[in-house]
Amino acid sequence: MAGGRQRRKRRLREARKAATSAAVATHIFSLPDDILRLIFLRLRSLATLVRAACACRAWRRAVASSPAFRRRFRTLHPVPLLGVFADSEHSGLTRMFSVTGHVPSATDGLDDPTWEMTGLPVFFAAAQRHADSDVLAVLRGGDFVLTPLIADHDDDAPLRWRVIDCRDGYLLLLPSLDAIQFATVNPLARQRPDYIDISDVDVVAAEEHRGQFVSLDVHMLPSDEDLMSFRLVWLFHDESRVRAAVFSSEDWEWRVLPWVEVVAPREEEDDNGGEWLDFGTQATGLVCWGFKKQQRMLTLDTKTMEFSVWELPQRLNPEDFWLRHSLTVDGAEKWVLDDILGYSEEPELLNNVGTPDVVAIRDGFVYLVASEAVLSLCLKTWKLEKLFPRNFGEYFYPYFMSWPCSLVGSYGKFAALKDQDVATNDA
Amino acid sequence: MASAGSGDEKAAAAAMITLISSDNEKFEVTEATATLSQTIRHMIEDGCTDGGVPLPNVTSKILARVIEYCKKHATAAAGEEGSSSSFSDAAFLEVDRAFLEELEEFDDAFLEVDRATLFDLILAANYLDIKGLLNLTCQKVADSVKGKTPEQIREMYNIVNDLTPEEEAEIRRETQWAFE
Repeated sequence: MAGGRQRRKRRLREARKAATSAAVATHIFSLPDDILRLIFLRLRSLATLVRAACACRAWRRAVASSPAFRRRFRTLHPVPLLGVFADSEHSGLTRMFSVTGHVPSATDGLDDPTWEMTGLPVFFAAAQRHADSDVLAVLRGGDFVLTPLIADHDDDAPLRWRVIDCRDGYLLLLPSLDAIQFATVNPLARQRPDYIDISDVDVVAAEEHRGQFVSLDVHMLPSDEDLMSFRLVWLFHDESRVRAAVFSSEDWEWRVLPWVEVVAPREEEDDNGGEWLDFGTQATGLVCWGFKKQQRMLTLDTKTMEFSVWELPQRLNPEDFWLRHSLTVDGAEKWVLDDILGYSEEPELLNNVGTPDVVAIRDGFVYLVASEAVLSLCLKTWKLEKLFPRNFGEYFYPYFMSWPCSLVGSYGKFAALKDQDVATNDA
Repeated sequence: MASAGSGDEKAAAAAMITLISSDNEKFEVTEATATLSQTIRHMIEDGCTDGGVPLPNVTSKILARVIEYCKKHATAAAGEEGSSSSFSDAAFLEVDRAFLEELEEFDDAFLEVDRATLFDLILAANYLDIKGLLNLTCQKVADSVKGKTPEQIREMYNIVNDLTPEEEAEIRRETQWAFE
């Protein structure tokens, strides 16, 4: 009880203090950071948040210092699809992400004629009805021509880059097959590109392979905590095993992981010429690669970097339906059939656009591309919506709005200020 | 069981709580009004409201406004409970809608205050843990910066820009689209 009395005394003391300062009008700086963040969560758009965070150092810090805030804001304001990057198709032979499901790898087939293409990827804006004013502003202000790559171009050979993945505003690009580096560039951030040395990565990965060695695809894994860091996963396989090379932006180094046995050799092999895995998709902390016959799936847990192989539930009718799989943990983990969307149930939306393919999964939405339109499916409401007509060719990467790097604690000049800011805070 | 319950409710409705502001002014409110504040609800549950509840972070001026809000919304909450259990015909829904509209009008009028008072209300709502009031007041501030440039926001809220020109340029270069 004595403690209670002391508390009361302290409260009264504080009260007196408050009463004496009551003559001074309360300023917005009286609001602690967590209340500021409550206010910022209620802002209508990311653009408004950016402008507010630019008002002063304390406001930027309130936004940038909290990954939890970032996640909540993004849940309330899902990032829009801005458009797609497609390969420049003057040769008509380019291919990287094909809606027919066959996506050639970044580096396979040295004599592949598709690599003869030149130029830079072409951006096709999401030409949506009643486009959001923020989206229009981003489309106006972004450097979608990728001028930093042109600025860095310093020889007479034709400039050629193609997108091999796209994540959180960053494009991962590869210049040519015999290239020794990847580049990452962010069209929204107007920074110089970063280059990642890839010489010898596939040489090291090919060590001790059995049968045919295939370099399959590369995935860019953003970090949830620190948007300024990322990893790359480059998947290789031989006749029965897989291995990954993992690049980390922390030390700017590649590490080649050991071979992992996946299938009994030749078991489900047919005439795919030793290529038994499909190209991968990234979703909710996993990278998933389907086996060619779609009965099994290889996943990589991006936290633990461990591979698993799963039996998939039987597809009922691969032509008419698409399936949703979810991971359940009841004793044994397995993938179950969660729900089915019958294409025939959506005649108005799908009649004239063709059979859609999944091209991206993010923030609770699945993005689909059909021959005539780009669609989104909300996983919560199971609502299918036509976003905009398809205005690009066969090989493309969807590009989403990203969280601005300057609203992250460790960004640029602010990284150095962090400690100083904390010190002032404590004082 | 039912009759005992309604008896308790009557007792609760009649129970009065005394709130004491930082400048020592006393406010008598019903428990239903006071318990819109989770902070006070916990104090009542812990049985430490005898002799009044001192609220050293809230001045009498602000507490009066907070109580005004709670009274109105406590009535609204009681009305909602009534509607779900007893009536559901169209006439009653009509009354319900009218009441909700009235509540909205009340909220709009309630927010017609100067900035300093608005911040005081936010701080009080946060301290007293009154979710509805906190939402309402935070939304008001959020709406006020809509469509404004950083300069306009600084001017509106008397914020001194302590970013160096280089830092501001760095943010703006990367988020130029947001300033169009």
